Amino acid sequence: MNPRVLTVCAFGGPAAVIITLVGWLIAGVLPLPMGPGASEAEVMSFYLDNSVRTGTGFVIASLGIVLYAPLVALTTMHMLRIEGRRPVLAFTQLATGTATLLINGLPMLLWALATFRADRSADTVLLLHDMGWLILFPGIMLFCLQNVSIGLAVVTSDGSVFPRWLGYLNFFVALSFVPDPFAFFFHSGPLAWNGVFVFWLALTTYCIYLCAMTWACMRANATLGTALDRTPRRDETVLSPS
Amino acid sequence: MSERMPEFLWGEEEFDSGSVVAERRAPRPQTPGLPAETGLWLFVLGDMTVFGWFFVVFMWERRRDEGLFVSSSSALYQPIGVVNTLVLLVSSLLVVLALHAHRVGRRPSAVRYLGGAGLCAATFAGLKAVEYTLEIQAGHTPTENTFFLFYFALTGIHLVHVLVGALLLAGWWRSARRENPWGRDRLFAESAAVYWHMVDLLWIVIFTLVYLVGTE
Repeated sequence: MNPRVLTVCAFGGPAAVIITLVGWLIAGVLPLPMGPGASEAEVMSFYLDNSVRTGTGFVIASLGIVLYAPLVALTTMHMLRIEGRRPVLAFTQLATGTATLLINGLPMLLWALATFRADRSADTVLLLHDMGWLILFPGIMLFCLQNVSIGLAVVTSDGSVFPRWLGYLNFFVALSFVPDPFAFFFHSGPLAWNGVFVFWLALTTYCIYLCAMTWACMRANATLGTALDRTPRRDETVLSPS
Repeated sequence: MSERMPEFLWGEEEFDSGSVVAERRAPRPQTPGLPAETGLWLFVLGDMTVFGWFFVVFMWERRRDEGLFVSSSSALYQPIGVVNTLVLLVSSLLVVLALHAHRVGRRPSAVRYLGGAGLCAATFAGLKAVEYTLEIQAGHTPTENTFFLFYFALTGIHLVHVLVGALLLAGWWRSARRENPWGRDRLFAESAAVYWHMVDLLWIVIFTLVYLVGTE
């Protein structure tokens, strides 16, 4: 297989971040997302005043999010190298990563859907608005479990495929999502869906995680050539731990 | 054919070789003078930074509405908070003793100390459950005001940390009961100890900020 494909897959992470953020910027979610306390009129005008621009922004964001899929696949492949014949954590990671794609992509489609008809009642638009936000962040349990499974696999390995600190980084990222379900209960303040501890903390750690995984996958890709020359076994050190 | 398949689909040979597990548990590289390993400290400092932001935002909100914070804080059960602080301090001491005992090879003492620390963790969680029940029965819920929002969020997230720590202590307790060489157990034992001290440290700050600073 062309090793360039592996490099392209690794860059799915940062590409997803950039394209999604550009989409949000066009749609108007960024720089400051609308909180749950916004009035019906504000929500209506957000989706319907510039419906084409807003809709386009969310379509771009949904295209960006799907670029995370190749990185999930690449992470899975390297985790298979770590775990060898009983790759339960790699499968947990693959399953939760795939579901995360859906959880993160669905809100974009719901919000794009909200811009589709100008004559919808405020109530319906508000429901789509809430659905999107309350799926995107509080639904992060899947993502948490994905991070924990990567973390466990790396921390119990010898560090030859992924460096050991990456495991601890994944544990940290998982813990940084713990405040997110509070968004179900708050309409304003730091624990609302647009608050510091939900939107901004999760967005920051998500970006750190994606960039770190890209870096680690690139490094792990470089050790693949040597491993494929002969039958690799998980207890063999391909690259001496630095 | 076989080299084109993913590794986990390869043939049956050496499928159940017991040596794999043994080699996976080989001694980890160690940085001199640093407990556990560098990566763990990345995690600990990252986690404490997030809590640090929580504390800054808490103090910020408190400045904006001092009266509310003082009056709400007096509705907390300070004695339970004090007992929980002491319980965690004792557990930290037990963890220190357990780590030392484990290191010098006195495994039965390490197991006893860890049992004590586990009891402390259970006591902490139990008292927290009692405290939450009393608060909710008195009508104080997270949606009541900003103070109770922070009270439930901070102590709730901390409680998640306590439960994770209890699992780590349980894992350490199990490994201390086996007769493995210290080199094999070192990383997990030291990581669990470092994590537990972090949980204790965070609680001391939470206790000071939420339970004490309000009651002037």
